[in-house]
Amino acid sequence: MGENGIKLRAENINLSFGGVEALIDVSFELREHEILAIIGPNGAGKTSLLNCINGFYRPQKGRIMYEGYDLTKVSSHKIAKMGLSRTFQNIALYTGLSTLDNLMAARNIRMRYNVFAAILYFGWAHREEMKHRRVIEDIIEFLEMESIRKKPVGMLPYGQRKRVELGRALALEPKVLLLDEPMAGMNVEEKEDMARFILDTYELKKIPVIIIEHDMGLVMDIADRIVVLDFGRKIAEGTPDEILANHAVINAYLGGE
Amino acid sequence: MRLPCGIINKSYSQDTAIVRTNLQWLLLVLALITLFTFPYWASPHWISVMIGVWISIIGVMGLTLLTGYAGQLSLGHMAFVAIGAYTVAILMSDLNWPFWAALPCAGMISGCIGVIFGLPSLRIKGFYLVIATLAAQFIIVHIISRWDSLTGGVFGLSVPKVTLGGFEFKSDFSYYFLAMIFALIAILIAKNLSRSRIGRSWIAIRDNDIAAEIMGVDPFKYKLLAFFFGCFFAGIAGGLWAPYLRYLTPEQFTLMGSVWYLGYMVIGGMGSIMGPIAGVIFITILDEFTAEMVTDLATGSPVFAGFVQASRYIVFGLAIILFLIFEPRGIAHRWERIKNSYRLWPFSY
Amino acid sequence: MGRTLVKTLSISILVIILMTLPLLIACSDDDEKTENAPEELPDIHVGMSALVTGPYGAYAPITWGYLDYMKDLNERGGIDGAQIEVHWKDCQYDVAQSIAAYADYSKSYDLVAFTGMGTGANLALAERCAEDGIVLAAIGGEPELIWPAQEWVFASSPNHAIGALGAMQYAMEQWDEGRVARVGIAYPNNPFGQSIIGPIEEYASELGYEVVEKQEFELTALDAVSQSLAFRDDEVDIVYVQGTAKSVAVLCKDMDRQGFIPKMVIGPLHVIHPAFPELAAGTGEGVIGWNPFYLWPQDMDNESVQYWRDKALEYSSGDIVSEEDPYMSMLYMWGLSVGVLLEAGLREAAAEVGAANITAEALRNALENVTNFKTGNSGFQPGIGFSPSNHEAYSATSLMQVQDGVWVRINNMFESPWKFAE
Repeated sequence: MGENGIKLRAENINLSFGGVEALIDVSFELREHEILAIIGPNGAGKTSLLNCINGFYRPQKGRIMYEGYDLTKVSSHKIAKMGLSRTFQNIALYTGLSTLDNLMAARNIRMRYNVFAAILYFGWAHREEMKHRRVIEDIIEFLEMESIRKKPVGMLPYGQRKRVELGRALALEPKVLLLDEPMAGMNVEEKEDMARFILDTYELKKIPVIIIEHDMGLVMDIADRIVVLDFGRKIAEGTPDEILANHAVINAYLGGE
Repeated sequence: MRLPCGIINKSYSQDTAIVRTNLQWLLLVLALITLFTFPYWASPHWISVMIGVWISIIGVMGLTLLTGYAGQLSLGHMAFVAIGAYTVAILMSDLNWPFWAALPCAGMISGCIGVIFGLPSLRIKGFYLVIATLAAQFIIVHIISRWDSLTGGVFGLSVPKVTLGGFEFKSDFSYYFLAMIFALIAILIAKNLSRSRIGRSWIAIRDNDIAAEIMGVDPFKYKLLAFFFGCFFAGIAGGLWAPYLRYLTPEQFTLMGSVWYLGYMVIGGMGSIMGPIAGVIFITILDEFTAEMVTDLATGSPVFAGFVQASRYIVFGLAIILFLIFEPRGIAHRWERIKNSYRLWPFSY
Repeated sequence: MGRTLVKTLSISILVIILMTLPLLIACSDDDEKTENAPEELPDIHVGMSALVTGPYGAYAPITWGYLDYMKDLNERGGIDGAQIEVHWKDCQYDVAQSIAAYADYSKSYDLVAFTGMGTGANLALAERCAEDGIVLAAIGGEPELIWPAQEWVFASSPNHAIGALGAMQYAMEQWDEGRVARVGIAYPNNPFGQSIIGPIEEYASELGYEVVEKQEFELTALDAVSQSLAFRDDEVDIVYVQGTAKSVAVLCKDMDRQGFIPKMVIGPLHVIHPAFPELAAGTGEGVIGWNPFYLWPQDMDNESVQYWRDKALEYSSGDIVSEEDPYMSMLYMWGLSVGVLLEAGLREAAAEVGAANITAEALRNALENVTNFKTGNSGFQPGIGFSPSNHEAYSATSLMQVQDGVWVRINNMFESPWKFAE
């Protein structure tokens, strides 16, 4: 914090699985107010990088500094409590719960009542639940999910499930939002909706966003800065215009030498 | 869940309430009246059957929290029932504790031992966890049958009666109320847990443990909490069994019993509170029905006795298979669908 | 859409029917027994938590024997004209179900006696019977049940310790090696298995042998290698194996495989099954089993055995005996023996207070006055009798041995050395 507007800083991340090197010396910074896009061909290590930030993968070398802590040494659920929230490339919702309860489940870390209160339920726990229900209803309204509020998410169409996932990430009251291909597999209309939600969130909550996305047009439109990965290495970093003019990027994408 | 026409939620708390319409209140009151007056009009046989049902509901409710909600498959649940039963028996007979102090101890001890056997769940899941919990079944029953000085070994030990003030819970009539009240409390606790943040975290772990952890659910804490409550309920069920049977032997707590607990839960419906209730009642009735059938047929015409012997299990098994084919998600799910179609009738689109 | 609706409806109806079934059955229970004309003697009610199906379903013949005896007793005119009504239900050896059946029958009828199946059930039932003042008419089994004598518990036949000691006494009579015989015991870790260890050890010096090895051996075990090796290393002369026909066969085969042939192998009455020699595949030759009953076909000349063989054929209860398979189950005899106990007690009670006035209390008191009760129908066992300090019907046994692949009687009933500690 406080070091001239840098929210999160990854330093020399090295991650390998057996002999396969997924990330090699990747460093980047996320500023207090920006949408940072991470792009790269398939298998470039984009999702691995997010997994490192989440504490799901432990890099062999390097540090990820956030609010004075090294995230590579903090367990996943504590990282969530520190305000890092994300969505998943392959939707990872709690299929047995309704939309509402999926969002409420994410409020878990903000709820303040213990097991005994839960057993009694009436009173303390109930008041706390209702307080958080109000927050969740705001998110449902914001993401226009009123009609699917009580439907089990397992029965929802793909596009809506992606939206519920975004809702769940927001329910955590994140300080940093990590989005892993939030628009993959959507049609144009759904993509436009999703892009609008992301931009609105960014405007309203004033939180930095890291987004992994394949749709280049969209990335150029919404990202403030772009990091490009290829075979686990960072090959470029800069504003959309700089990236478009970068030879290394063009080679990586077109496969030229 | 859909609401019938004309019922509108005016507050969030109204939306989350369990009982909402007048009809539901009426049904609830009627059900409670039926349950409380049951021993006055039912035959002694059905009173004793219902005592078994209430106690099993408590045990299976524990398994539902552990397996149905938190997704931690356990094949050793009967062992934790045994711990509860023996705890109550030993505290009551050796230390002369009153039942009311021994019962919570039974739950706590069973729950704590459950946590110990739940530790492997942090590393392993699915079939591997099944094997680990199977170990609990064998280790615990083995210890009980060997620790002669404490448990009476294979010959077992007798259990004193439950008393309250000067009153003795001696007859089935009085024990019915004891078992029922504990079962109703257990159902309420399970329902409250399931709709609280704890229940949601359990389901999160069950449905997607990786996402759950990344979204802030501490798997360590919640898995062990599930083991604690699952085994706590089992311990309470055992603690109620002991003074009812009044004699405990290790052979009452078999692996088959654990498997049946899973069976109750699967047939009732895994992830719901209605599930164990429906499952236990359904299987018990089916079992009574086939037993009645064996007795009647064999008494009427002994020629069929051999055939009848075999047919009990055939009928029993067939009913369960048919049920699982037509309603794989359990009775509770069917019940939800009946309720929905009733609410939407006559315009179901 | 139509099909789904039909399916939904039909399953819903099924669920509703199954849910309401207890009500229907509960209501239908009461109107069963109203046929008796008022001038007749009142029925005498007895109850049984029977064992017909389930994991222990192989023990069903006990139930059939008991039911057949009662049926026959009623056909013979009951107790001075009073008919005996048996209330029974299949409880599958399960303690909880047995207690439920007991609670049901003891509340619904004026029971004078109840019979349970299995040690666990009997131990649990003993307490309840004592409380309610109902006779527990148990089959012979674990000595723990009748020693010391409990006020309301009576056993119909010798317990395992009596049989084991009778067999050991016989073995010592045959022993001519001129040194102390070395005995090894194989037992399952349950009440059935543990009940014999104490008595066999206690009588060691008296009968002239030494227990050198005790090995646990479960009834369901598939091999007995470690047990066989232990017996071989300890140079055991006589192996007493508390097991079933199947488990004894497993032990015999594995001892043979280890090249270890003890001088004698003795088992309980469970081992006397015609299939045993075949199960043991030739290694069962010479195995001895103790047997407190006379039975078909070894004792064809015993009139009562003949009588019950014909009755079993007539009633066809659970395929106990058939023309093709001329074998009467030991377990069936066990069931019959409970019938003998009840007949003895009821007749004595009828003589004392009159058949119309038999209560559980009267039956209990009468049983303690029974001495050497024997009828033409109960000649498959010695005369029975009880006293306030002894609630076991008799303490004699006989022995059978596998010779040339069939069970052969090797002696008649003799008194076991077992003595009750007063």
